[in-house]
Amino acid sequence: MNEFHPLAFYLIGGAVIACALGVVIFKNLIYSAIAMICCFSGISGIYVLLHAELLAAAQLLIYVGAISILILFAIMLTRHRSGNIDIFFHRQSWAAIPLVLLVFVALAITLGWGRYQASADSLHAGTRQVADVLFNQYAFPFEVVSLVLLAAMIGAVILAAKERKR
Amino acid sequence: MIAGLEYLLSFLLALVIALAVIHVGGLVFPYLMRRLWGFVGDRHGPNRVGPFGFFQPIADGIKLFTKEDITPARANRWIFLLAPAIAFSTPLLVQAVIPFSESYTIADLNIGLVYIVAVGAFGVLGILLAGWASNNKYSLLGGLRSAAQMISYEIPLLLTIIVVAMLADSMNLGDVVARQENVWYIAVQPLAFIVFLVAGVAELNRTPFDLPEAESELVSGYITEYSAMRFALFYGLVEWGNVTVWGLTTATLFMGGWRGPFLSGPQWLAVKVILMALIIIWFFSTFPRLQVDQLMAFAWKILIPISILNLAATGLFITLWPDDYLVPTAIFSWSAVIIFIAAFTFMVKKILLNKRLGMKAREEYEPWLLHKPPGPIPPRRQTGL
Amino acid sequence: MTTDYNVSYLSVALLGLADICFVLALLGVSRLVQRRNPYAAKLTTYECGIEPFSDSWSPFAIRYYLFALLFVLFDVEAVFLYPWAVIFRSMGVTGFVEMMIFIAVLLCGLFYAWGKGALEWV
Repeated sequence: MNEFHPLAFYLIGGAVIACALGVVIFKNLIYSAIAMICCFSGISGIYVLLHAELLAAAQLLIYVGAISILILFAIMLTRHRSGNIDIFFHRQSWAAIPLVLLVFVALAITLGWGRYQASADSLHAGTRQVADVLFNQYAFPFEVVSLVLLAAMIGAVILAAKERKR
Repeated sequence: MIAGLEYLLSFLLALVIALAVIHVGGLVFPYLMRRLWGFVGDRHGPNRVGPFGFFQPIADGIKLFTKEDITPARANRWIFLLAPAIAFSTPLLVQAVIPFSESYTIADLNIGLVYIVAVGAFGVLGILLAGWASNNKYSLLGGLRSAAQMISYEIPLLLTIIVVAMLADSMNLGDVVARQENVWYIAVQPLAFIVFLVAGVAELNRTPFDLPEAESELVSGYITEYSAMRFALFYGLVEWGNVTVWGLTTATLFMGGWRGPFLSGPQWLAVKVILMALIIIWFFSTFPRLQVDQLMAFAWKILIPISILNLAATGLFITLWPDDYLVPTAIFSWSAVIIFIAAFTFMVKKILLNKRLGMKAREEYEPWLLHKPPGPIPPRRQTGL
Repeated sequence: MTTDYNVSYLSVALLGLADICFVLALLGVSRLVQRRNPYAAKLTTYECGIEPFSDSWSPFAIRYYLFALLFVLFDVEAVFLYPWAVIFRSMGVTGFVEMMIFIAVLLCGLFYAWGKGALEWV
């Protein structure tokens, strides 16, 4: 059993799409957040199907473990009521429909007719191969990532300091 | 078809074993804790049901199972129900990668070390959602505090597990155990072990880091509104199940896993898990609780710098001596531990011996110690275990 | 049990599924066994005996959010460290120096937050 069953992909993919719809449709923000966490977990499952184990674990660790906590904190931080609330920014739905359709068509064209070169080996790359490419070939971009993280950290500290002063 | 059926049967067996591990932990360890805590506090522990009160946890379990469970009218019914299920997935899923013997691992993943921490995320989510769904001020505060504490202590935990991955040159837990055939990592890296122990106790919300359930201020934290079987799920199975699974993880990462002479793999693991649980119970009965600010400062200002230092030093030694890095790493780690313990003792001693501070505290809290007591103190009744 | 990739992950997924089924079954059976008698006073939120006032779903302090933000950043750092931990042996000094620069930059961030008092719980 080296290849996954297509059924697994359709099951997980369907669940991810359903959860993504749930994120938009639920009126209660906490329900949306939970649907989003399910969506993240599902994407991690798709990574597993693609034999990208490390990416799957990173997806769980960062998105489910950290970012969803951040978002839950953010929802709990803001003043809102559960149940029916006036969602004023839902009035632009008429403009959103053609935009979303456009994005869908663009994605379908790139994914359906685009050319991708990937050998079977690179699709089944283990953690060691990924690490090898990351730290040898892309060493400089990797160092730049630390600067991005530093900038984010400084931004967070400054924002919090401002909030505290108020 | 036959292979599929065979797999399904072996999976069900594995599931039953995994659930049994959690249940045994959830029944035995609370009993052990109450018993030993009673001994430390010179009281009787539970001693009525069965010999030495040994059937007390079973009686408690039956009672909680048959009691009415209450969902408060103002709580969010669905998330209130979902939260224990999310939290329960942590002790269950972590067990998937733990090698119980040479051949028994439910899922032998190549990224086991990352998987353990990644799955731990569900525990934080469950607690946070439980606190929120109760719509109770104590629960919400308990859940938030718990989440903030758990994410803060997760970083030293992650950084320490990386040290283990560096030593073992693999992220597979089977390989980690195999590499400890000659020497346990607790002997090579006692510093990493201590950081893992402290961060783990904080991650489990145990004393001295049990602020989320600080009964003197938050009633019961995030489980305030949970009653009957839902309470048993959270308190017994999730919390003590997590202690059990954490013990399994520590044993695998630092104490040679299932390896050991005379006994079989699962038996050795059981011995090591009980040892870790006893350490937690010992902490529980001796240490006072920290304050929130001390708790967060301890994670961010002490544990994270120490674990980064440890990581860098281990990396340096392995780079310098790729073949025999164990000895220099051990020398560094042991001397660091000794220095830290000496510094800690010195600080504590300084605080305790500070005359002005000490006298003031005594006048405030224990005036009877400074003046003569009004009469003879009645002799205490001797109580055994 | 097995070292096969797909089967291992199938077991993990099934464990996740079994978790939800087990919890629901446990609570469901318990519900059948117990005697239920709910009434309004029993279902009130616990608030030390006084009548509960206002919702507890109200905004709280920003410090929780700040710590969560810092946690996300350190989490991302740790994710980079894992693949490094299994490869740096073969890279020699280069790999070690590479990662030390990365960590040093992030430590600058930690000390900045420390100096600015962002790590204080006030």
